[in-house]
Amino acid sequence: MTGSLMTDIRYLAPHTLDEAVSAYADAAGAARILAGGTDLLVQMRSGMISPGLILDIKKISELTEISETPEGGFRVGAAVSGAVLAEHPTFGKVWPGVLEALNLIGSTQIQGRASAGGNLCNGSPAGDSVPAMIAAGATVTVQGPGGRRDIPVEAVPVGPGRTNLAPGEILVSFTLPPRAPGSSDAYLRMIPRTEMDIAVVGCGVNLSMKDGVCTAARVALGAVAPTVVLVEDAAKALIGSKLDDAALEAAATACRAACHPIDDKRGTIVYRTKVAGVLLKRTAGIAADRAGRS
Amino acid sequence: MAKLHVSTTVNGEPSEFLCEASDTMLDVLRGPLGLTGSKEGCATGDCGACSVTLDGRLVCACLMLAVEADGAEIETIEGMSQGEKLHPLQQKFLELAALQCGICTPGMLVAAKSLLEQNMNPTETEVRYWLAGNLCRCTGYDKIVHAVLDTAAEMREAAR
Amino acid sequence: MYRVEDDRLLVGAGRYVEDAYPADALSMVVLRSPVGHGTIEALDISAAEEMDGVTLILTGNDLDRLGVRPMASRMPVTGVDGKPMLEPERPALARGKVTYVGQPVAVILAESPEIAQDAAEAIVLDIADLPAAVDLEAAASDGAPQIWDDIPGNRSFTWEKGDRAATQSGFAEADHVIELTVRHPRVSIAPIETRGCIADFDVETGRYTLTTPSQGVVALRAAMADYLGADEADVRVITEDVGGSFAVKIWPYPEQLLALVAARASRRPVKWIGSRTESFVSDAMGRGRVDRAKLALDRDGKFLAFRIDALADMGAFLNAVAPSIVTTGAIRPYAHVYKIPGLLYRVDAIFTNTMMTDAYRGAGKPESCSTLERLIDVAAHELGFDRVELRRKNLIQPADLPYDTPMGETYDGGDFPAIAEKILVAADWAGVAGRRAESARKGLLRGAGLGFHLHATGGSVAERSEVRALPDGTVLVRTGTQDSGQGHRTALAIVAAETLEVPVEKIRVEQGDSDWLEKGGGTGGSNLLSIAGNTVHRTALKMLDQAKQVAAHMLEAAVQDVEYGQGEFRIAGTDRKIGLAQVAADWDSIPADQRDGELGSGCVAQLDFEGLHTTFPNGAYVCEVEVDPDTGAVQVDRFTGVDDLGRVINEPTALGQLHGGIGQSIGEVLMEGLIYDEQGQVLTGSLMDYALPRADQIPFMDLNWAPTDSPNALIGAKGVGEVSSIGAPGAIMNAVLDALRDRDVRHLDIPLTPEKIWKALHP
Repeated sequence: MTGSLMTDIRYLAPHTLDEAVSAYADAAGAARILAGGTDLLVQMRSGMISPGLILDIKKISELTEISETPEGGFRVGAAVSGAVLAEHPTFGKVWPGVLEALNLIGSTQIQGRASAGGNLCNGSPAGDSVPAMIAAGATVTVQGPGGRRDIPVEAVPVGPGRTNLAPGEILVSFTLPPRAPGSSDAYLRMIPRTEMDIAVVGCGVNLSMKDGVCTAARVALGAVAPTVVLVEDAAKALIGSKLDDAALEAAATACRAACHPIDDKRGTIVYRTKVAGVLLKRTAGIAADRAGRS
Repeated sequence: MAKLHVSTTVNGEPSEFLCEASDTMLDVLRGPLGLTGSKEGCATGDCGACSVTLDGRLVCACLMLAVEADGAEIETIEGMSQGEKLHPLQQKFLELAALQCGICTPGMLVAAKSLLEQNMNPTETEVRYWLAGNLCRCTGYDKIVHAVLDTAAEMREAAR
Repeated sequence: MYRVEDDRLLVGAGRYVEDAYPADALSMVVLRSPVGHGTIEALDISAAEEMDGVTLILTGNDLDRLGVRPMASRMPVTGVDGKPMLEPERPALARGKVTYVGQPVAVILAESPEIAQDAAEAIVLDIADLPAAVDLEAAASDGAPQIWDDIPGNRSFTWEKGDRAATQSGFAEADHVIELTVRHPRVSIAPIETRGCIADFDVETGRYTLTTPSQGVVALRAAMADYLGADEADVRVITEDVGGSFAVKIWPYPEQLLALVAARASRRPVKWIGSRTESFVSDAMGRGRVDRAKLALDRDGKFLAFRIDALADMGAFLNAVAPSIVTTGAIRPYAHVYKIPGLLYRVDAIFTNTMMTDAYRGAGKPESCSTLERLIDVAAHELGFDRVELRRKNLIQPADLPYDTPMGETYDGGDFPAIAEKILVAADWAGVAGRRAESARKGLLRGAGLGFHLHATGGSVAERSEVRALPDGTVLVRTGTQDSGQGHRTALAIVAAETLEVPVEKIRVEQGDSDWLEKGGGTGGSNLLSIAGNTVHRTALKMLDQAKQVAAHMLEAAVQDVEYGQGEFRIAGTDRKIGLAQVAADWDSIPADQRDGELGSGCVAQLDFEGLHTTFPNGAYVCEVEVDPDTGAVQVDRFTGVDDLGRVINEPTALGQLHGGIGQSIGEVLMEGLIYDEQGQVLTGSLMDYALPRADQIPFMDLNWAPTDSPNALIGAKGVGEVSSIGAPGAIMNAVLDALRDRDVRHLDIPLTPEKIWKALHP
């Protein structure tokens, strides 16, 4: 049964961030932000939510731009879709793992709309782009009635469907740091059945290699805990190693230890936990190959 | 509450309509605009039967608000042929009988056209992944994928 | 030639039920049971009735007043004990209790779907939960919650067929007995078009009109008239384009009945379009069988006996023809291409607190076929036989034909050893070992599976066709079958064009209006060509015979001197001739008093089906898969088939039928499976949660023909619609289990999801 959409809903598409922040704050919780809408419209249609205001942020240039930072990193507007990011001339070469994660969200049609900002704010532990962003060491800029602040991506989700954003705060953009030489990233996920499914495990790895030795690494796992988790012990197991079997096994063990997943029809605890280790090894291998290994 | 006034372009023609803030593009296409070629198979973005392009980008019309069409260009299956002349993809689907019940066909064609507009030389795997958002329960996708690959080859040949 | 259906469909001009927006139509929304089993304590519609824009709300209390009868099933079965099946009364809207999630409790008619939905939410429905019997095996066991007071053990009937004595002696004499339980879980049939209808009632004439997707308007008219307590003449059913069916849209549904009743009560058209969510809880479902199977073999591997003791999940009531699906549907080919002297099938039909099952493409045969093919693979492995040779030595030989099976079929054709030869070559069976080694180098487990199949086509024989030559040179053919994507109009146009010796473009095939034909069997059991094809061919000949009388009259010649060919009648040996179109045109000018008698009925003829209708299309499939042992993920890598469809009338559409059935089988075996929790909630209630196969999960298929004659088939064509959905599941299951064979996995029940495989590999 389709949910009722008859409740009076207002639509606003401001051109400036200030207008958006002010409207969002004024609505005091009754507003929902519309970026790609791929989660929002499903929730509205099913009757799960019934917002008083839909705040479309796609007319605000800062939220739809991709730019290179003076330091050599990237700023990606929170409403940029996966398809738009894929068309950027250099982003995918520098952050292939982040891009592939974002473009694993749903079908081509969904990729044309869904944004990393929406994926993060939706608060799903299984959001594909989130582990990749965390592994990349990305930060987000948020703006609210109290002003602007930057926080690491891993600090945003606090539980399924819940984030650290204060009332009235809007996610503006992601900042990805400059790429160190000899470094790259990768993202893999395990889906239970089909390409459009929700991940039962997602694994993002970002690492640097020098002379065959891993000199820096970040590892993040999705869908294995109430929030996406940064697995520092896995990174420690990789750093200083040649990514040999023992190091990978140690990192996989760390990943398994970081798993506190749910048991559901998509995947049981034991399966999610074991596959997390398998994915860590594979993802690290891909990232290292991309980094040039040497 | 007053309805929202939207000025848009549908299949190259200027179009205006009134809608509620919560109306989806699919609601408006099928209802007020009378373009029923786009189908509702799920209303959750999982089946692709409502595929249209928004400013050239493939989207599910069920996951887009109608008001978002303001100032934008929408293309639907109804705009794919030039009068009586079928688009090469439609022609190839006809030749290969790459459809059965036809309910997914409009969305499948719109999606395939969007692929060929950005990749004239897709591999089988690229076609399959691109079309993975378009469910078909009748064909096992066999002739659909063949039709897209064959059309791409013919369009490349014609462009030489 | 191109499919005649496609011009419209390719440009978005198809006309599906959701595409019609009748002026002044009311929207209907269904309030459904949110629980699996419970007593209705309160159902208060007063607040909802008061809402602006709400015109009518119906509940179970209104049914008697409105003369709506219970929706009894339509093909009763007599049990092995000689007693009739037990059937609970199925009201169109729940009365007193609810017995499955999704059961209609009330319908709300309003000026828009949104208003109706809001009103549905304003209805107070209090249900006191009762313990639910959801799982089939649990519902059949002692101490299970009872769904119906007067149906002990939740059992509708026990039914048996076969040669009990031969089966018993086969097992008694056997050197080896292999036992295996094979579960065939429920699947959602899930065509991309959901169910829906538009109902209207003409106050002047007292006639109902139901526009709805179906597989045959005539049977649906009969059911609706029955449930409405109306004359069939007062019910018209129209079916336009159908967005896929695979059986799910054959049946009469409560929503159609209630829309008609509401249209009558409110004197306005009523439109109901089911959402995808509703489809998952209220469409009749496929499969739902547990087969405890046994195969007896002698020391040389000869099959001596095969039996299945099945449990069949009926859901909470008996759907339209569900009792026949789990009985005769299950046994018609049964041992298919194999010569097995002792055959027995026994089934307990069990009620559960779930939506009803009924036919799904193959209708009982995919279960029986894949159970046997699994059993053969297990037997080969455990007894040390080569699985190809074990099959080959048990094939029915061409010299055995016509072959009488212990289940009562007589196979009229086929060459199964030739199929075996061809499939091994086509699939490069000899190359499997090499490909297995190649996969192993990538860390993947390759499996190859082989399965034979044979279908005994069926369907209703109550078919009537009409052939009418028109003055404009076209010929109108009407049949009681109904296309839902197969390309009926194309296939029947070819048949009629051949018979009439006119270009196929001159034939127009119409179906889908119960006012056109008094009778019409509808589509089912892969029956289009064997039944409607036969009837169209014979009717076209009859029309020519009649037209020849008229032509002779026009040509002032004796009928015996008139010949027909290429659309023209000619006096033999002369150049005096008249075209069929001219005959049709001139027919009007013949005075009515001269039309009877020797001039027959002019250029229009009707005939009913006569003759043998069962054909036995058959073949073999080989599937190859790669399994990732670390994650359990499966990818289908190759799929090869050889099929004997007799004469192929139109290759693209025949191939399309096979492709589609294979695609659905890949879904059924690898990823589908409708999951209910213990309380009867559907956990797979969206296309995100219920996985249908997508374009990246099905490889190109290499399908080949090996035709033989079918004396039963008047036009030489065997059925095709269900062939691959009967044959493919066994081959796919065998492929995955073959990949796991060296890891001591004997059997896994479908769907073979990554997790299930991974667990089997990491016990």
